[in-house]
Amino acid sequence: MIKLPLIIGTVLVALFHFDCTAQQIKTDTYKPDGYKIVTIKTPEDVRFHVTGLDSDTAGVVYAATRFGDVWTYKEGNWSKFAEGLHEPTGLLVDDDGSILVAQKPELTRLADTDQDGLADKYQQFASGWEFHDNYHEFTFGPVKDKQGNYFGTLNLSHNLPEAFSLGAMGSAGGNRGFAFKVTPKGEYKPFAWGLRSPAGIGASPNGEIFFTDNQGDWVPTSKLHLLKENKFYGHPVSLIEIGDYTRESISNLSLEELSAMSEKPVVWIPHVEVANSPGNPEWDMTNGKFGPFSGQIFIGDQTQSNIFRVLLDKVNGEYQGAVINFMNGFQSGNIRVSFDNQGQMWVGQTARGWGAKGGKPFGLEKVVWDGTNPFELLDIKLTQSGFNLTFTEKLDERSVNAKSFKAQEWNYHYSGNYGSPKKNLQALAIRNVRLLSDGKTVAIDLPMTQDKVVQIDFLGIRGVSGRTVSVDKVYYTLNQLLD
Amino acid sequence: MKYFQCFLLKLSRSLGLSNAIKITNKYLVFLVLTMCLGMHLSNAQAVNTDKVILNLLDDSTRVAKGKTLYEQVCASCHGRDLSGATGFNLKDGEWIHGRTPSDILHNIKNGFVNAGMPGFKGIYSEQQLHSIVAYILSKREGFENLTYQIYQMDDSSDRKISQEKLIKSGQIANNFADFRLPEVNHYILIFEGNFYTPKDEDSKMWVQWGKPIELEIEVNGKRVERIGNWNPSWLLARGKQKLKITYYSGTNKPNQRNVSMVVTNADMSIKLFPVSVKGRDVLSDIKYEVIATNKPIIQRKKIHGMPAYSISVGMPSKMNFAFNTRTCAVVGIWQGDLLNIGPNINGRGEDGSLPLGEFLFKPPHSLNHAQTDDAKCNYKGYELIEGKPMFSYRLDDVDYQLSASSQNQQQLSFQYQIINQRLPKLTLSLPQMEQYRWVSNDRESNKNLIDLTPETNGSFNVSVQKNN
Repeated sequence: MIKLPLIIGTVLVALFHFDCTAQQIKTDTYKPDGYKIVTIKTPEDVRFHVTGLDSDTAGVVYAATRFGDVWTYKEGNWSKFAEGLHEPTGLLVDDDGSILVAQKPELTRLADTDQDGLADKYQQFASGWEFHDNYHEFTFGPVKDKQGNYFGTLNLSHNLPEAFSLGAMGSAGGNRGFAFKVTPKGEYKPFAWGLRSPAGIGASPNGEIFFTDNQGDWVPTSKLHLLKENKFYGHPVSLIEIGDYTRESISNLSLEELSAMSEKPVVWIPHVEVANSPGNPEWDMTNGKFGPFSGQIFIGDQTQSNIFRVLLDKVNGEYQGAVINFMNGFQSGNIRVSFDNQGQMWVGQTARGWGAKGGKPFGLEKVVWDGTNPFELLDIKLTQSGFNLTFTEKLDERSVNAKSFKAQEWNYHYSGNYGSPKKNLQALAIRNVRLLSDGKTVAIDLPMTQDKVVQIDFLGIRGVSGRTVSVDKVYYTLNQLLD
Repeated sequence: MKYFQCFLLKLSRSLGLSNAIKITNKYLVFLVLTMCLGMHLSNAQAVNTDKVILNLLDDSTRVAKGKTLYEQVCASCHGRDLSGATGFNLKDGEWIHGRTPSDILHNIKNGFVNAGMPGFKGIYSEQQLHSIVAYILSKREGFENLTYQIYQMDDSSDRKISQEKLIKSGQIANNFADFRLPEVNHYILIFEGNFYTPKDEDSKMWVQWGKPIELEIEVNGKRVERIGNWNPSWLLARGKQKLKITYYSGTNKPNQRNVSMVVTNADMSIKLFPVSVKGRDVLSDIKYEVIATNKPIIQRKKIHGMPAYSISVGMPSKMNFAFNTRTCAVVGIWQGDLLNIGPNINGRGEDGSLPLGEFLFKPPHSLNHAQTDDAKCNYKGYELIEGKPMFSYRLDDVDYQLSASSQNQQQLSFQYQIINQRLPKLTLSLPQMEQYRWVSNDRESNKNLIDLTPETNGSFNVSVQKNN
């Protein structure tokens, strides 16, 4: 969701392709061994587009729907907790058990003071931004850092006459295209800007805030960023609220100037191949209850109806890393991912207004693991001469050779066009493939250039069990080489 | 019967309404004419009834009477706005059981027992039933007697229409422009017919994602200017008009050729009714009525005609109001049902929800605190007290709570409470209303401003009451 369904390189061409059929990749199903999707029956005759999702310490699941309800799911039963909200697209179960929900016009704290299972207090917690009643002005979040501050992101508008636009999306002011912070006392602060359609925000285990942004104008392909105070993230229209900028002076900024001002993403998320409209980053803190991917980031995609992983790497003190598909074949558009206390991954879904590969208009599913060790790429780390790729089981040594691998690199063209094709695409020769002493890690060497996405295919790799991986491609964002 | 209507159409064409199809067989013309005359003679009474009812359309009193009766008798099944519910839509061009005034009258009288519709013959007078039919006809929208013509063109740039290029033509029974009719690659498709739009407001023909689509619109024989880029629109006449739509397939891709055409209000903020088959799809999911039955309902949605940040509250008594969290004002009161939120929860949700009733007042008018210009409204939230919302806010350093109650559709009362402070006096600004009046402490107020002395516990109230 949250983007025009255009995958076309230029706006001019795009004009003639403007329909609601999202472009979808044609691949087979991928699914790691031991994992399965369980579809949750949602309340009958209720439009159940789940766009806010969390669970409490007792494992009760809270779902906010685009229709405007909040429901709880406990021991297989649904119960309506709150209603009448303005298209909420985020929900957090707070430490005191109250529910924070991100409506378009405000962050609201819901409380059930008489303990009858229904919220009776709808308190405005923060509303420091402006909502102009435009359909695209979603509020995403909140998530919480270690100091108890809350963070959220604010979508730009679309087709809003008074808005300033340099492409598809616009801002009529009021912190559209910003990330914001709210202190524990409820004080609202604009925090960073240059965002477009940041449909997912998450807090890492150590309290760092990350967010995704959706491909479109000024976003060549979807991406994941680390949120830093007073930084600019690439979409120019929100600059109208910064310093002395005017509509004219912003329009006169060159691509080079804008690019130099912009934060680099932690990872680029290749369009169609991995995601078109990513949702929130969710850390697997289940200590192995969800399998071998502990500590890694899982993100759902609304268009592709899939889940992918982010493998963080820290290079010269900065985050960068890789994305890899995890599982597809979900019933609708995956916009929210949340782990519960049992280590189950819940997936909130909607396809209204923005088509999804899964045909259902809305729903809720969960991914459960049965304890079988899957055979997949576990992690990837940059080395001085290439990468170390670690798998989830020991490898069949016979498969560890250069023929099992393939690599290519490209970059994207940053501009006001709607997305970017791959630029400077070229194959990379892989050399010196060797298995490290743990039996699970392969070191490979290849020529590397900064500011490229490197795709490594490992189709030929076999585990000692004789298995092949279900996902055989990883995409590493090479912002920096090791010093 | 359909066979016969088909002949009639052909006849009308041959008599000059359209030169698309020429009937050269004189005998056939004679036969049809004879049949036609025969039908008219045997239906002389029906024709007379048709005339009587059509004449009522100019009689606003009778149409208003028909409206009142319709809302009492028909609205529960056919929808207050005639758009259909368990019963058929009564304002579009599709008439399953006959389209003439006498057909409609006959059907109301006799009903369709198997379909759950009772007959009303004997329950209402002939005059009352005529009024109902007149009201239904007054709400007519969209095409009537819709015909189409398909011209096969030489290539995508060929724009010259000539008779030898006409490959197909006919009438469309359900009166929705069907852009899927052509089966050739390069064509010009023309739709023509009578067309009904609202009489009391401007409306526009609107094409969703219409940028690459080449269309010409003629209203009463005159070309209308195309406005806008992504979703172009054309201004229509009010009420009944002759409408001609010409579509050039040009280089459009197959999915673009199935044009999504809808009539909207003047600023295109409300989609009124579909014109094409694809437009019907766009509007099919646009009705979702939220109605308070046994407890108040609170809805935060984009609402047509209301400012952003409005929270609407519907009471079971069918009195509704909207409270605005940025101005701490009551920005509208309407009598009827709460909202059709369909337009705001359909597709991407671009359009506002529609209040389902008659406004006592609406923006820019509001019930608010007469305050200094720089007073900032600081909204705190609402609590549910026995299901009713109590709004809390701070204004000019005073904390207030506001709740509302309503016993029936004659009145709606606002209770204010000042928290932790003593105010000797305060002033409310009251919007003017036509059929209702403001009452405070049992005294009526005709002024725009009312000075109130709160009770010692800090409470005060104002209410709207219907004029006798």
